Amino acid sequence: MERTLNLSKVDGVFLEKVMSSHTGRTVSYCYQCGTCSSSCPVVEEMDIKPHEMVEMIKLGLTEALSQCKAIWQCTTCYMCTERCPQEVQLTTIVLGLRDMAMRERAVIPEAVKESCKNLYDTGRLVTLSQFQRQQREKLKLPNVPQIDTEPTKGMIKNTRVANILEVK
Amino acid sequence: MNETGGSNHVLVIGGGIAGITAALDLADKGFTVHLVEKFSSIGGHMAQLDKTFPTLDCSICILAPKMVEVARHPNIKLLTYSEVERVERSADGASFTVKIVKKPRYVDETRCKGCGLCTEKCPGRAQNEFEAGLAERKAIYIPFPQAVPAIATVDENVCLYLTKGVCRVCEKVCPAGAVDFDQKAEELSVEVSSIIVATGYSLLDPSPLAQYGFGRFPDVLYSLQYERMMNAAGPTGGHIVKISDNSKPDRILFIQCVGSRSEKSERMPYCSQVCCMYATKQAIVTKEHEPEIDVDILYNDLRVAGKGYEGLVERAKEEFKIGYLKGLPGEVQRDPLTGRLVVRYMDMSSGEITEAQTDLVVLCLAMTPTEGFETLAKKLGIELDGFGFFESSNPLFNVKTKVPGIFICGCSQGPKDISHTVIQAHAAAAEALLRAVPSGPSVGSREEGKSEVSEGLSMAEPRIGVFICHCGLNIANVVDVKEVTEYAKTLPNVTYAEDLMYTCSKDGTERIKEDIVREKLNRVVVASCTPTTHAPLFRSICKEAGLNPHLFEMVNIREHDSWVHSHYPEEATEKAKDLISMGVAKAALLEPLEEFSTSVTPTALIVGGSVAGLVTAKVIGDAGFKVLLVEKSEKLGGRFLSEYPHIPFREVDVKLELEKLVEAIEEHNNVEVFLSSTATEFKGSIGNFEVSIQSNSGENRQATVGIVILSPDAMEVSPEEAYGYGKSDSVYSVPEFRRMIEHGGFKEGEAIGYIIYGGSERCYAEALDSALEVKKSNPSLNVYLFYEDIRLPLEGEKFYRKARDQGIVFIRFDERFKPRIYTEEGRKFIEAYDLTLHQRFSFPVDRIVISLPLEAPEENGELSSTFKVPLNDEGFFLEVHPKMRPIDFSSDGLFMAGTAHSPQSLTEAIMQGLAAASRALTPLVLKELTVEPLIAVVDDERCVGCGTCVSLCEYNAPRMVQSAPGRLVAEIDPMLCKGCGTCAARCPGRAIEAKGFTRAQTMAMIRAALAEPSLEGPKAVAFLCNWCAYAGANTAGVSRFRYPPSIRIIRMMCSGMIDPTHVLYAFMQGADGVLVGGCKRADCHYISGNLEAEVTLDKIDEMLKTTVIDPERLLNIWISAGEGNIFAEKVEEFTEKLKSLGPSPYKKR
Repeated sequence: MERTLNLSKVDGVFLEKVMSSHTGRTVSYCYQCGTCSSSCPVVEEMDIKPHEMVEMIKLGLTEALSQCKAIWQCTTCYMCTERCPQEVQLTTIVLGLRDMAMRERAVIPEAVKESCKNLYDTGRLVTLSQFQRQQREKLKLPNVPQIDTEPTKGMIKNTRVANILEVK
Repeated sequence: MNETGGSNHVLVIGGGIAGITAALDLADKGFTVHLVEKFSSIGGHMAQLDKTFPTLDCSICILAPKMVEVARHPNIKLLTYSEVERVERSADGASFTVKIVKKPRYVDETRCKGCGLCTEKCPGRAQNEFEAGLAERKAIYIPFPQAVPAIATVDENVCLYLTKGVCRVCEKVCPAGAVDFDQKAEELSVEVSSIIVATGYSLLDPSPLAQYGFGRFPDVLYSLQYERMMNAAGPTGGHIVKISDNSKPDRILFIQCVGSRSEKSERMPYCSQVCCMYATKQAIVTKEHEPEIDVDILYNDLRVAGKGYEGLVERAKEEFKIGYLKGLPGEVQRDPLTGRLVVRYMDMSSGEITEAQTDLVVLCLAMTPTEGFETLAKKLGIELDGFGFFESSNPLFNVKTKVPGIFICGCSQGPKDISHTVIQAHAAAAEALLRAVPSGPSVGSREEGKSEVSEGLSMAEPRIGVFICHCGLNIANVVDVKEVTEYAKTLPNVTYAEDLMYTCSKDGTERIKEDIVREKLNRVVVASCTPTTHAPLFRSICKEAGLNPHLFEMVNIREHDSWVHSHYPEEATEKAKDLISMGVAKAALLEPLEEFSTSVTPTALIVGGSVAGLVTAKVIGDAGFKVLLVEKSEKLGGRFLSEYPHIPFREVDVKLELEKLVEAIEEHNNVEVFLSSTATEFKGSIGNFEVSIQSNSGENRQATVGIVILSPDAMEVSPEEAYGYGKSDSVYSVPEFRRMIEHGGFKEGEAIGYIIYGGSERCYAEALDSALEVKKSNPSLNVYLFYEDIRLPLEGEKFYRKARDQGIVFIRFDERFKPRIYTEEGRKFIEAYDLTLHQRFSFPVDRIVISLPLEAPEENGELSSTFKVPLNDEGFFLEVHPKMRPIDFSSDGLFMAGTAHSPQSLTEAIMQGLAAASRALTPLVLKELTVEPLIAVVDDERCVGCGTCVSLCEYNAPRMVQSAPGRLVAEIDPMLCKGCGTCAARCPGRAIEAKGFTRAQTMAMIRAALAEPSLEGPKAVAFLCNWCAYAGANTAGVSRFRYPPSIRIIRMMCSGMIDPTHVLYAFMQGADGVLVGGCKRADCHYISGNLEAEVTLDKIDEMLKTTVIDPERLLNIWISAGEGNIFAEKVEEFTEKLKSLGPSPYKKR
């Protein structure tokens, strides 16, 4: 056990903020049984486990939350939400935490930036690799159709994703 | 249609422990009780349990005697396989007309003898409900060996004849002609003044909960299945095995909260209240059987809220090394390589995700309302609560429903343990009895009049009649009954012997009566089945024939002979002869015994004016009996009234209700209140206790009372003991803080921290309720609640969720680092170790509220010595049995109520108050009490006044009296003596005899047993206690566990009755071995008789070492009534051992 953390300095109204947001309404229902973490397929990789995220929201430890890797490692498989006995919409809460991290210009993993860039450039989150293209040809599948990226580019320019991509 | 009823008739729906308790309670008072059970036997879930917590008593051993009592009770009309069809309430609301449908069981109840031949031959199969689906049963079946009534029922869904029109094998093989395929449903109508609903609960179906793998993996079981697996009479014979391959598991994981405390659809939002405890029990029993199996329990909040429960969990952790792992699993999978089950869970105490390999998984399932509750509620006109259980209309008196005269109890009102169920059943009985005065025959006068035959005739030269039962083919198929009958005729003092097809049938009993009169018999021996179930019947037959009922002896040649030695018919016949010869030898020495009776002073003494005491006083007073209510302080109502009267989560004006109660008591015509007074100089026995009531001002009142109830209040622990509370101004107790909330004046955004200091349910409920209230008074407040494990009553779970919804923050701290309060720069802090984040935090708070536990007052110590009743380690009073008699003291006529028993909530205290009143009213209503004459008696000529008996007796029955100047001798109060005979066995002067089990009688049996050498192999004498070992031998019989015919059983009341002389005499008479059997450690029916027996046996062992008798020829076994297979195994092993030792050096040749 490390030193005692004094909570006088942390965000006292953060829980209330999360609870009143459209993604975080259910956060306070958590009773810390750990079912979410034991159901999570990527929990071993996470620096903060799903049930810990909830506790940190309750205590207002915003800095640790926006700096963590775990919120970006979530695959949004919804298994935690599926199994939570108290119907905490944890996946949605994680999405809310990502928003918060974006707002606070926190460090965003390169892979996420890459996806955002793909979306901006091609209209797709994932692009085809050389190998995949060859396979498609071999199997005589048609080419993946091109997307008109102008409308999506326009939308992205109006979101905070534009700040990351520096395309404003 | 059959119609019966009246104002003193009561209907009880449901024959589980709740219904059985309520029915016996009312029937003993003289009410006629119609007990309706939808299944073919009474017993309910409790009959399926292997053990009960926290004492790990054998469940069926304590339940079966009650079931038999129900069947034999003259005031109980038992209607099994029946359901309530319609209920009509009379215009004045005073009575109900109830139509009941008796479903056809296709077996004539009056003819079936429960021999089981039909079951043996039946080709139809179905899943065995009693074994929770782990075994099959036949289409015609008796659900379990101890079933009441023990008669067969045809399952119409699987019977080949009823489904396909072919078979009828059962009809052909039934020797009693009991099978009746023309049977139709019968309707009957009863008129009753009250209805008690005791319909129990169901378990959630685990199949849809896919992540647990139930149904997919055979080694995932649910808790009731595991309970059956632990049971010696269960589908695996008590062996813990993997269902998949029958091998022994290395590890077992229990998973808590399966389907409980869940907001998901088809699951239950509440905590099922008992799972943590029964899992603890199952884990300990597993470790006792198989110490090398690793057992862990996965849980979220450990709900350990009950008397003695903390102690059991401590033992589980320390003594048995059972792992309590905080954190619930995501899923159960199977490792494709090892084939073992894999449970992935979040280990909260280490903070790591863990994958545990295990061999068995036990799911602790949610307890749910039963299908059909809704229909029944409609018929009765009562409501169901939000969870689907029957709703009580009054949170103070939770047995009441919105219809006056209909009461609810047990799990049908909400999940609860057996203790709470029994208490609530008595409480419901109390409410029912206030609606009508009983007028039927009370249990005390069950058999009218004394026997006609004069003592002179009974004591004349014995004329013994022996009646030998064929029991259809049950006995006659193995034992040569004719030969045995001829043999019986040759025995000394036998003037008449006869064999009968069924001694217990109407024909059989009439025949016995005629023979007694015609042959002038003055002793009767019946050789048939077990006295446990049939002795009362034959005793009353003797009485009807004019013979003292104690001039009867029963010989068990079925359970102890034909059923277990079917492979040795010759030896079985020889054994039957020996057993009858033993019975005849004892019979010759039987004496007529008369029941003791005493009148009951129609007055109750209640010590302690707590709410429980007031409730008790009101009920007893309302029932028309005088009450003397003694209170130490200067006012009534105790802590609940002086603090801040309320019930957590309920909107009731409790203060008003309690004030009304106090007023009712003060003005009650039958209640006399003594304030600022204490009770002293207590003596006497049930019916007539003498007591002195002393007031602080020096007044003194002598009184005689029939019964006594102790109901002192408990107080919250002194504040200094908790977190330095009391030394600082912004720290409050919960009641203090309630007054704060009333006055208001909190600043916007103030932080309030609640710390739950005690572990009881009350502490959690009070804190949570207060937190909700303060948040409601000012939503801007930041409320924190520091806790270890959430422990709430059923409805509390809803409010726990509501609190979280309102943003109250719950911090789970680690038991190793309890929260600390400190002040820094004028600010208060609570420092706590957050178990979820494994980090110590300091929470700045403006006010701190501590939920404090209750502790026993010093007064309890004084009451304990005045009334000679025991206290537990915590200073609360100790009940005689935590499950079956939770508010009775071991001394008859003394009861406890409320916080005398343990720390309690207001609702619990009121429930105990009602229950105590009901228990106490039984002797008061009876007016006269009789006790069995099977008690210990002192021969004062031989008594040396050593006082050994006084120090041994658990019931304070013997006391020293002056028989002549300067000569002190022991005298045993027949009203206090329970007849265990431990004092007789240990009396150094041989001055005490246990009536019905005298030394001379036992010696005569030993002589008879060993008069002839056995045909083959060794011969041993077995002294077995009536309640466990003898009953265990019965179970071996019922379950047909074979063992060698080497032992001759002598029934004793208790193993404590065994005297070294008995054992040595058996060896001197040439016994190859002696077996002594008693109850397991905690199971003794006389509290500590078995422990005394151990002392005696050690002594005998020492003695044997100085003789030519190898001490290995003496074996002690401690088994429960359910362990028939273990009994059989032990006898088998012992016989082998005796064979290897060769014949006894004293053996007659």
